[in-house]
Amino acid sequence: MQSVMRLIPFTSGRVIFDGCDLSTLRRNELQSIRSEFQIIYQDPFSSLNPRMTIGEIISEPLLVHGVKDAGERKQRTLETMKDVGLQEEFYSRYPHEFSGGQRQRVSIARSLILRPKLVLCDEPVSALDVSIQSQILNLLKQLRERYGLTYIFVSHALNVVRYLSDNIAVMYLGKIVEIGTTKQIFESAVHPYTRALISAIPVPDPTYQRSRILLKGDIASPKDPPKGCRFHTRCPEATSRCAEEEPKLIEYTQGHKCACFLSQLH
Amino acid sequence: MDTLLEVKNLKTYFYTPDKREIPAVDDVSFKVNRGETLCIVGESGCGKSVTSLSIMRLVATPPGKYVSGQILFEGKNLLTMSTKEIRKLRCKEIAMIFQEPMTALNPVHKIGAQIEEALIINERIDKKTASEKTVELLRMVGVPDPARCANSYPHQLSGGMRQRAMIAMAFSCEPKLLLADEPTTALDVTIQAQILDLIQTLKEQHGMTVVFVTHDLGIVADIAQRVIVMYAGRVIEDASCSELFRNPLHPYTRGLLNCIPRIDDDREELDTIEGQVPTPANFPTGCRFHPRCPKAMEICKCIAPQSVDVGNHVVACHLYAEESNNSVE
Repeated sequence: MQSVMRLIPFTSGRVIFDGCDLSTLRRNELQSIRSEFQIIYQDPFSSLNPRMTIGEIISEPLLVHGVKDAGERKQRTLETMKDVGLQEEFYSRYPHEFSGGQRQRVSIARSLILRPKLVLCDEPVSALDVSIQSQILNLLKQLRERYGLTYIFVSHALNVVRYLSDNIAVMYLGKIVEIGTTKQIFESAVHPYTRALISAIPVPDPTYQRSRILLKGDIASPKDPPKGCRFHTRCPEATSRCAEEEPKLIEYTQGHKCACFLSQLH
Repeated sequence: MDTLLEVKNLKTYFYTPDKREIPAVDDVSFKVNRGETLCIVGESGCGKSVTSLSIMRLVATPPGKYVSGQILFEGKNLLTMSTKEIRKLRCKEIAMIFQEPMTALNPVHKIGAQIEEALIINERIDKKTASEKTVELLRMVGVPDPARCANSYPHQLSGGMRQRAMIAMAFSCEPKLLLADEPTTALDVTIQAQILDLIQTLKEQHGMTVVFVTHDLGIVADIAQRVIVMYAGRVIEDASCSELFRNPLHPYTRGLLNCIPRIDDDREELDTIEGQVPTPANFPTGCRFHPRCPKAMEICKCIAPQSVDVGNHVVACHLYAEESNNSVE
């Protein structure tokens, strides 16, 4: 995620955004194209500068991207605040006066004010209370329709992912292990990790029939990932081949790819 | 049924330096039967953690104060006990595990030493027996290499392993009551499933009673026998787990259940509870949920509803107060 934003350098590979290779861009070119992709962070407490007012926070991207007229900045800020459900009088107040949900609205407003094409959402609701989560999820969905946004939504909560996404990539220790449409992932997951992950989600219904797949052991350290398939140390279906050889991400059915020898037998 | 713990009209308040009163836990009552798992659910600031800390008598006083009420553990009031008496109960009778094992464990002592300490103090055994028992406990909670774990510092372990170590510590003296304050919130989903499974297994094998504090209704459905729902320092609903999910009565409980995206539903839009979660310093008057309640009436703004029992199902809401009055008449 941070690599996509080019906030941290990547070792190799390329990130192509709208036909443009981000890895080769110079600093100033990067800065101007960044107005088209913005980010919303997980923790609305550490991602807002406590010494800036809400208005300053939301309008800062405009200043950075050369909107010099203060009146225009203020007007666009107020419009965006309205879009995300923040009252006008919050403009000159400070982040500490607000709850987590409202701060996350500020964060969303800041990411939308430049009218980006792509918004990266890094666990935007995981720090919020349950009753506030649904407000923010609905808001993100409405804004997507209204402004034709594309989201990359990072989350560990599969129920949230299911609600919002069209396509899902499941990652384990730095690798994509399975990728497909939301329907494919939830109805016909192939990778044992995906299946365990889905079965581990607590469902708020005591009568729900669950067949939980309990994984053994811990997630290995990314510093020293296991050889072969990185999941083989915890996989209930691992064979000797998995410890030796790394499975490739191969198309399983139309649009559904999986990196597991199990799916590649047939 | 045999009551192990009873909390009666507990009020735990905090006082700010400028003498403002913060009613974090306000007139909370509930019972826990021996051998059952009671879940306390609620959102941030609802008083669920302060309630569990009050049971351990771990609320810092000041700024906190147990204003009134009783916490009866096997009939004895924990709130009137001396520090010495309460220390004898902690760990041996009542133990607690916390949300963030990294901050709950001491970073400069090895895991083994921290568990041994509890054993040496409470069981009065020598160091050698204690360290043997420590390895045994770590094995029991599913640590793969218990001897190595005992010899590690907390930062050398993963979150899941640290939480297992903390459970081993809490379990060292086989307490009758285990208080678990969001013990899986900081963990990955697959690790969370392992820890929940472990707590369930230990509970069943040793007939332990569990009070489990969480904000996740999915976990509640999974492990609870009884549930109390808290909102803004008060218990608003108390029922068996199956009853609560089948027939939630309080508008807040209903709202909460409807606003969670589920893996088995296909709603286009989630239901929401409007407004913000109130902070303890600014609880509304009357029913504290009324500013966010879709069914709020005039009376809700000024008068706090009493708890009414509508048949093994207690709810604090004016909607049902009328109903029970009518049925009495």
